[in-house]
Amino acid sequence: MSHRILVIEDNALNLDLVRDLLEANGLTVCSAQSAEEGVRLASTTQPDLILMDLSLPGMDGLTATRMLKSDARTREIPVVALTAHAMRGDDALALEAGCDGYLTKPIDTRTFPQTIAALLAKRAPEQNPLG
Amino acid sequence: MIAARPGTGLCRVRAETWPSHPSVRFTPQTRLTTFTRVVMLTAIYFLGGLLGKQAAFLSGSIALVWPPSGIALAAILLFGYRFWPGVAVGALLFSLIDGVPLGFFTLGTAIGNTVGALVCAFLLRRLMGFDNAMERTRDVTGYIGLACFLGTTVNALFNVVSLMYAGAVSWEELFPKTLEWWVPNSLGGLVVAPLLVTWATWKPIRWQPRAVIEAAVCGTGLVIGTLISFDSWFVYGLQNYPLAYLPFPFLVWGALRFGQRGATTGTLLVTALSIYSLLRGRGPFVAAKETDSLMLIGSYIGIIAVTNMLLAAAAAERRKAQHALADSEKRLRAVVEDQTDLICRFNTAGALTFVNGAFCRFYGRTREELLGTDFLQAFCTPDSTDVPLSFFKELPEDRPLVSFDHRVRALNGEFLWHQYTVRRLFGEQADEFQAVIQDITQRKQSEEALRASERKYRSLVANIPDVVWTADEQRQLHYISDNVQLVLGYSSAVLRRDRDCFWLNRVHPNDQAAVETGYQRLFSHAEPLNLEYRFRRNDGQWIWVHNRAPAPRFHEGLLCADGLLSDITQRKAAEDALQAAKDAAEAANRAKSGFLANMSHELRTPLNAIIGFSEILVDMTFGDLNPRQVKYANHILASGRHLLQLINDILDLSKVEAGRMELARSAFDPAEALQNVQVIVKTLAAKKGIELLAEVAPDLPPLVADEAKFKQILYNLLSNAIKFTPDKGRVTVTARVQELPRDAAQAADGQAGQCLWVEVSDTGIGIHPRDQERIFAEFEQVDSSYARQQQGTGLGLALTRRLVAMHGGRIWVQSEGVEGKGSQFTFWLPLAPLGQGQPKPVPDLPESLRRPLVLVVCRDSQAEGRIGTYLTAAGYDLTLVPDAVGMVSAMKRQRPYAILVCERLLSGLASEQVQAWRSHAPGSVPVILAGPEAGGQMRFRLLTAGACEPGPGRNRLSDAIRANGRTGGKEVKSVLIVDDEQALLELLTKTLLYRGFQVLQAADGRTGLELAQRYLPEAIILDLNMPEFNGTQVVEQLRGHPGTRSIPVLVHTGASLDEQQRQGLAAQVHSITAKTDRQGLLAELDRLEDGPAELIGAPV
Repeated sequence: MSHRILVIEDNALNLDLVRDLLEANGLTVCSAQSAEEGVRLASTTQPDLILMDLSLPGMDGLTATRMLKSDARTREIPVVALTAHAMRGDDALALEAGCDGYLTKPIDTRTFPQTIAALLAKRAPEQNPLG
Repeated sequence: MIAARPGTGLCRVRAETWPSHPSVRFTPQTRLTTFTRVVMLTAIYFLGGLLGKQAAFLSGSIALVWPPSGIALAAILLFGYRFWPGVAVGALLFSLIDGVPLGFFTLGTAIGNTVGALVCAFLLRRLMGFDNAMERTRDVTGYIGLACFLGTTVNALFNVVSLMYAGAVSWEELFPKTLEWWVPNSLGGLVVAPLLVTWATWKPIRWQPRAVIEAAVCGTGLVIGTLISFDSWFVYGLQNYPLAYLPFPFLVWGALRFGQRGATTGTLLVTALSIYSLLRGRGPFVAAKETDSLMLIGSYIGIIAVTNMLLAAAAAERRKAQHALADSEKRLRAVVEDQTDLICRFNTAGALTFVNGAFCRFYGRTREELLGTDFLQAFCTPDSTDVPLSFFKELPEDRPLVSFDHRVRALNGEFLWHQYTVRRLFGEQADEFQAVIQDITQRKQSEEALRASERKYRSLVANIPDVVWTADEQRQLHYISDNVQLVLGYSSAVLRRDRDCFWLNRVHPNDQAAVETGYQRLFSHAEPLNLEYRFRRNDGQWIWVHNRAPAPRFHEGLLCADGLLSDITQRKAAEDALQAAKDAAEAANRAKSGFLANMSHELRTPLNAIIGFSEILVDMTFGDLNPRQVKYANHILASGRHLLQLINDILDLSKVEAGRMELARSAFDPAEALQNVQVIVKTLAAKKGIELLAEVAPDLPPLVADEAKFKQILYNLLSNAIKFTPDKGRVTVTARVQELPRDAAQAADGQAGQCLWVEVSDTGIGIHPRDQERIFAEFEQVDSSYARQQQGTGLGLALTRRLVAMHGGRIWVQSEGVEGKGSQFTFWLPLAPLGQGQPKPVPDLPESLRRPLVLVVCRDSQAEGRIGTYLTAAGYDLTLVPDAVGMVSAMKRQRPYAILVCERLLSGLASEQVQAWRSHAPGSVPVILAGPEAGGQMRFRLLTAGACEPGPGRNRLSDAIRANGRTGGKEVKSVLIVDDEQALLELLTKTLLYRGFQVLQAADGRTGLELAQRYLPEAIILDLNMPEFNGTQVVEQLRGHPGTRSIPVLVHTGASLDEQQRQGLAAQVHSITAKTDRQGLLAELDRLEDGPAELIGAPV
């Protein structure tokens, strides 16, 4: 069974890019275009990893991450922040909020799948999707 | 007695030589006992009696002059009361010898004579203050009255009353008998006693020939005159003329010229001669009855004696007064003469009548020349105003003094100021004027200087815009310059009149406290005043004033401060405007930063899609593209990346501008960094067929800088060079160490230092000199067709320059602007941050950090510097010793983690000798040989005991020691020890230092947590049982924080844990060891170093 990744991203183009890249690497992707929807999906679908855009309309990604990390059902799901904020201190904020990883846009399409795979492997080393 | 004097001749005496209290000085006799003197007195008295008897009349029953009474009086006056027995015995003896039987009469005579003399002497001394010299008329008058009348009357009465008792005198005969007794005694007192007293009274006699001759002439005249008067036996026919007054001129002469001695001697001579004549029945006083004759001659002698004595006394007194006057005059004259002031007198005609020495000296003329000349002529010099003589003449009697200053010209032509004090002296006939003239030039000059300074000061004060004031400690204004009217609107008079409340009430309420305190401190602590406050002008307008005053001074017993007050309203307004502008600029800058951050985000989001999708296309992830499509996709990708670079550069620049770019400094090998960058740009160069050359000095020391930024600088320069060099060109990079440029070293307080010097040169198009500065500005590219062909953000060099500057270095370009000759970019960075003695490891570690000690044995200052820089940058402490002896003694003080020996120290030694060297150090301490390796790196080789050759070279000291060849990661790891047991804390610290760890210490859980969060140590050794904040809580907190979550924790506890506790804890920490098991702890620490840290302590 392939790993399921929940991508929370409001920009449709970027969502497509991430989805295509991940699916091309054999991962199952479900998506949400707002934080609220993302949080709901996370608890219902229990994905293996969540990719969280930090600047979202309405609730922002950091708040969503805090909610996820405070909910027992979603606490264990690794959250990787995906942000265009490249200023110093943004990464710290993300980690503070409970993110387990941090990626900046624009993503490097050639290393992105490997990075995600490594994060998944760390959580469950016995299952390497890229084998 | 008279014979005892060394000369009985008459002498001239001078008043001024009289002793103040003349006393008897019969030097040969003063040594005789009183008794002897008394006996002698008795004898003399007796002899006097005999003499008197000889010159007696009426068959010897009546003497005209009775010498004994005079002798008695003289003796008592000269020698004192205690000599009365001499008088008494003499009188008694004489009576007895005279044939008077012992009885009332004899006793009466004796007592009468004695008492008479004693009473006289007593009264004279007591009432008159009698002086034996008898030179005062009061002495003479007193003597005549008391001695010659009163004393002798007492004597006579005693005798007569005794005679009456003896029956020799009847009551009817009382008066005539008394008179008979009284006259001889009186005359004895008038003639004999003064003679004896005056001659016996000590007084020096000057034997001047003229005086002696004069005395002889006078005496002869007197004798002749007396003889003619009384016994003119040799001038026939004259005897019948009453010539009793012929001796008088000579008596007067003697009295006037020779004083009392002359007078008394003269009297004696006349008396003796007249009695002699009478005895022979001659003279003008021979009457029918002998008794009448006696009375006549008695009164004659009495008058002569009295007159003579009074005359002598009066003359002496006058003489004395004259002498006193002369003395006084002499003293006054000396005072006047010695004055430095000019003193003169002139008469109503203006002629000088007196001048003193100073006057003569001033005019350079003698007294004689000056006297009689016109005072006003000397006084009125051509350039002085005339003062008419009448000015002085009109001085009134009640104000006879006038004083004025006058400018005169001295002999040397110098102008002097004189102060004249002229007094009108009112005389009986004519008035005179006295002038005292004082030189007051100096006073005038200092007055003038003072006035000049005062004028200057006033003019200064009047012309500055500031208000000058002087106030005392009671806040009373003594002075305030008039321009206060302009500044504050109050007149200086109003302010001076009012107390400080007036002032303070006009100070802005918010500033009043500060003003009050300022004044208090000024006067009570002598602290200078320096205040800026608001003040309400008279027109109600508020102005800012700056009031300042230095520490106060004492003036007339009051502390006074002199201050300066300025209107600074305009300055304040300018300052406020400036501040507002600054605030606005800062706000604008903040807005710009915010805008840039936002824009960056907004641009990145679409770029993400552009770059991402074009990458997918180029990678043909979802199927092949035809070559044209690939080419277009590549164009899209390149443009996207260029745009991203642009955004990144803009963001970086704005960070630098906002001061938000931080340098993460660490020590790294610049050669290695250059190598890395070369790898990246190599492909760029290869595409254009450009040759990339690197000339790196072999022994580059570590550089303390931000490694990423350093690489960025190199990348920018190299990629730029490649970009602007035509195909088949050449790009060369060189790197070496140099002394800091002088200006940079001076800027760093003359600190000597070295820098890394990097040059990047190309064979490109070159840069025209006029553009060489412009290319470092933002968005500037050299405007050339070729340059436009090149992709470039125009921000690269601007950013590069800023990065270099942030490191304290400098960058510039050199180019001739000739195509093909290219350009050369040069930059240098200080090896360690300037202004700091040693490079600081990053992140900053606390002062309490303990570093492992490395003992460095080195004698070469160059190698020493490099090793020192390396070790410090790597996180070690070091002690430097020159040789093996120093090494051994240093080890006794503190055990090092390792010993580093400079290779050059041992070069040339045989391996046995090197091995012997090794044996100096204990086996547990590794000995490392340190030296440069080709390529500029440090090379460390472990010298193992027993082995003849050192181990393989390593680039890191710790690698050489562990000899495991591992690279990467920090050289020295830091360990935080949290334990409340001080001794164990120290022990563990030492153990870890010997093993090459840096150690942070914390004595309680909270401190431990704080240190862990701030300094992120590589490992934490944690005690569990600690007061307040125990180990379990520390672990929980560490795990709850992303920064500290992954730091491995080694629990080292004395507490016994049950299985459940142990399992719960073990899930969160790296290991649990008992405090008794230190080896176990160290083994865990070693295991930690070998394994990947990331997997340890990750959340479960």
